[in-house]
Amino acid sequence: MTKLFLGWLTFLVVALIFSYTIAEPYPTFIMPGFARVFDYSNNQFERIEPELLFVDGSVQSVMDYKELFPNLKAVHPNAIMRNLFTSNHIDRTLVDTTSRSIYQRLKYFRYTSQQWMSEHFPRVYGRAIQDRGHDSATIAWLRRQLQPKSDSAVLHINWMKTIGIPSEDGAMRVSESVRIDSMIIKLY
Amino acid sequence: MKSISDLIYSAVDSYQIDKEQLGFYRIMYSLFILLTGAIPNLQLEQLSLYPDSFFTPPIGFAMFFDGFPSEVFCHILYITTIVLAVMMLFGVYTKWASLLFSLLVMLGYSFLFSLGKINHNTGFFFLPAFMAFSGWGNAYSFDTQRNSMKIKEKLSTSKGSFWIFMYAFTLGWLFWTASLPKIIGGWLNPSTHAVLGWFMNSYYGDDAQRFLAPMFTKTLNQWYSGVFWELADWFTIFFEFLFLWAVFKRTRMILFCAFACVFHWLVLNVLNIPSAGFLLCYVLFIDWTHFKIPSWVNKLLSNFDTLTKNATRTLVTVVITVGIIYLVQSIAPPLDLLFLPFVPRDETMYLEAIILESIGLLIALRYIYLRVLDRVRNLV
Repeated sequence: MTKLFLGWLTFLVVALIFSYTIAEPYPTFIMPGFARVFDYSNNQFERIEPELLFVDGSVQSVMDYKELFPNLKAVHPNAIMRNLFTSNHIDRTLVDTTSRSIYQRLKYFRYTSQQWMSEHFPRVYGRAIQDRGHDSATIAWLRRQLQPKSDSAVLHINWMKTIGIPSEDGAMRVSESVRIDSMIIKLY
Repeated sequence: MKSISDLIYSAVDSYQIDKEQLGFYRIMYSLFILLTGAIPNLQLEQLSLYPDSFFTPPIGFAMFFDGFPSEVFCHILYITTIVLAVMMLFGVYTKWASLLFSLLVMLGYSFLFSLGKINHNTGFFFLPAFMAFSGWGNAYSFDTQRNSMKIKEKLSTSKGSFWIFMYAFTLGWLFWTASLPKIIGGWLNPSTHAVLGWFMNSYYGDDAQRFLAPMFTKTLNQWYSGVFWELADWFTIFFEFLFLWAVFKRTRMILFCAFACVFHWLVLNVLNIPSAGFLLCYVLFIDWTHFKIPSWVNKLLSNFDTLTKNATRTLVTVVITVGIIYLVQSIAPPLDLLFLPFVPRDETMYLEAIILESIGLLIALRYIYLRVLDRVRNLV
C-alpha cells in the first residue's frame, strides 16, 4: 500500500511540475489556480476579446466572434479564437513580459519551455506554436462560415483589451480600449 | 512522529465503508451521469465541424493522432460510454466497466480539449477508476448474484478502503494545487483583493449576473468592502491548501467536504461557475450510519437485485436502459427536459446547479453546526 501511495504521489508531483513548467497534460491532475490578480482600483474590470471586421468587397461588417461557432458547446469560443487567431505564441499564452511578479516570471519560463519543446519534440508540442490561422484548412473553414461574395474578402481579427468601470446604474462604461494584437486573413 | 506507513494505514482504516453504502453510491453516481447531461463524449460529434488545423492536442492520449477523429468513431465512443455507465449502474462486471468508463471519458475529452482549452473535470470522471478496486460493485448488482459466495463481508476490505483513500487523497491534491498559484500570484497580500478582481471581470466582462451576484456589487465602495473581499481571498486559500491535510482522517475529510459545499455555493453565486458534480464526489465520504434511509429507498434498491437476478434478465435490463437513455439524450439530457419549461436551454445547467448546490449547502451547514455543537459540549 505504502509503495503504491508513494508511486502515485510521485506521479502527481511530476504532473504538477510538468503542468507549470511546460504545458498542462490531459488527463490533468491540477485545478485551475485563478492566480492572476487584477487591478481593481476604481472597481474597474478588464476584458480581452477579439473583434472581427469582415471586409467583403465594398461591404464592411463588424461581427461577434461567437457567430463563427454557432453549434459549439463545452468549450468557450474565446479559447479557440485565442488558440488559432493570435499572431504569436506569446500573445496566445498571455504572458506579460513587462511584469516582474513571480507569477508572470513563471509564465514566461513556461513560454520559453514551450518554444524549446516545439523545436525538440514537434510531435508533442509542435502544433501549439504553429501559425494555424493562415492554414489553408482554416481559411477554407472561414469561407464556409462567412460565405464571402467577393474574391478579395478579408477578415481582420483585432484583440482588444477593454478597461471598464461600472456606472451608478450598474451598467458598464468603457474607459479605455487598446488593441493588443491583430491578424489579417485573406479568404482567397 | 508517525512513519509514512502508519499515517497511510490509519488513514485507510478510517475509510472503511459499508458495501451497501458503496453500492448505493455507485447507483447515485451512475444515475447522475446518465440523467444530468454529464454523460461524457456527447459533445464529441461537433468536432467534425472543425478542420484538422484546429487540432492542438494537450499532452496525453490525443497527441498520438494527427487530427480529430471521424464522426463514426465519436458516435461509437459516445454509445460505448452510455453502455459502460449503465453497466456501472446495474453492477455488471463493475470493475472493468468502471475502469473502461474513466479511460474512454478521458480519451473523448482529450479530443474535445484539442480545440485549445482544458476543463478541469478529472476529479469527477476519474472517480470510477479508483472505485473499480473499492468493491463498489458488491451490492445491488449483477456481480453480487454472480459472486454471491465470494462477497460476504459487510465492510469493504482494507484493499477497498485503500482505493477510497487514494481517491480522497487525489481530490485533496487537486484542491491543494489550486492554492499554490494563488499564493505565488499574491492572493495573500492584503492589498490585492483577487476575488474582487475576478468578480468584477466575470460580472461586467462576462455578464455573469445570475443568482446573488448583483447583491455582491452592493459591497463595492462600502467601508467593509476591503475586509470582506480580502477574507474571501484568505478563506479560499486556507480551505484549498488544508484540504490535503484533511484527507488523512475521514471525519476531518467530511468536515472539509462540508466547507467545500459552502465554497462551491459561493463560487456559483459570486462568479456563476457551476460545480455540482463535485458535490456528488463528496457524498462518497459521508458516514451514512447517522442517516435513517427511508424505506422506499431500500425498496428501490432491492429492485436492482431483482433486475439483475440472472444473466438474461440483466442483459435485457441493460439493453432497454441504454436504448431509453440514448433516445432521451438525443433530444436533451433528462433533467434538462424537466427544466426546459421554466428556463431557456442554455440556462438549465445553472438551474440544476443552484438547486443541487443549495441542497448541498443546507446539509453542509447543518453538519458544521452539529460538529461545532458537539465540540462545545465536549468542552463544557
